[in-house]
Amino acid sequence: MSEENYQPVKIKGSTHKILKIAAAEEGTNLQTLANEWLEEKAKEHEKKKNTKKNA
Amino acid sequence: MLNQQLETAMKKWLEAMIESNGNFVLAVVGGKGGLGKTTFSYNFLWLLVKYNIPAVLVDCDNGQNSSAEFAADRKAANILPEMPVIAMPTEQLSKALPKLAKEFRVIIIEFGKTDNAESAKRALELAIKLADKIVMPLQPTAPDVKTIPSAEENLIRLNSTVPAFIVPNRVKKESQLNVIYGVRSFLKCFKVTKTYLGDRLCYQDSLGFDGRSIFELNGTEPKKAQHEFIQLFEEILND
Repeated sequence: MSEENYQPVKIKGSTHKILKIAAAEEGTNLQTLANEWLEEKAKEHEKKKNTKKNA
Repeated sequence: MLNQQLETAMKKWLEAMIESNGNFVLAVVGGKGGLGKTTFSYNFLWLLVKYNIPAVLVDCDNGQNSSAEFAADRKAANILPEMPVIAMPTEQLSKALPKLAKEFRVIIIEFGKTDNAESAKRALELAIKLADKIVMPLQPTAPDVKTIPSAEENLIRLNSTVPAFIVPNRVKKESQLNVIYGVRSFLKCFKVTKTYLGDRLCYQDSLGFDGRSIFELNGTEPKKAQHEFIQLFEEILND
């Protein structure tokens, strides 16, 4: 997907800017990077929630 | 009184940030050394951390990294809260930010002193691409004011729409501000903040005292410093 078609659904504001620059720097697709980022963030969030629950 | 003022400012700002549902990036720029970038960034970070906002300061002041050193001093002296400061060269910033953006809602980037006009331009370009707001502290002296036109020129050339502020710093008396206000009418991108930081030793003393913020010092001068800093914090965030 080209950058022009990229639709940041859950990624807004500066997060979008950050990912856009990182994608350009790494030469990767912005959409792929954004999907990976959201997935990892969700995982980390879940992990934190579980740690809190178990504490 | 101070806490109430701060809480109101923080609440307004948090609401806006939650609405935008993203990260907030504040770029602190200025190619010259001794402008007050560390004083500003470090105290700004402390306020955010104090109010439990996940915030980090990325110290890109290549070769100097004063903020990172002050945070390390603080950690060594077991002073809480710990100040999340990460030192890294500007070149690594783009790659490192996605990871930081997962952990921290607010990212303050302190761009360092630059050796030449070209690297100053590159740093400002990156700041424009990344930031929600740009801050350039400046002393009301001829050498500092001389740096304004080139920074302004770069913002215009890059078609920047990012709100950018010049913060008068180390002001001994109000009349000194005329040197900055003199160029104000020519500025299209930068806005000079109404609030200025006075020339108070406590700004330097606090940092040298195990990496403390001005909010962790007692006395008349620190109280004045706290008051003006909170006003500045409010002005920048809510503008």
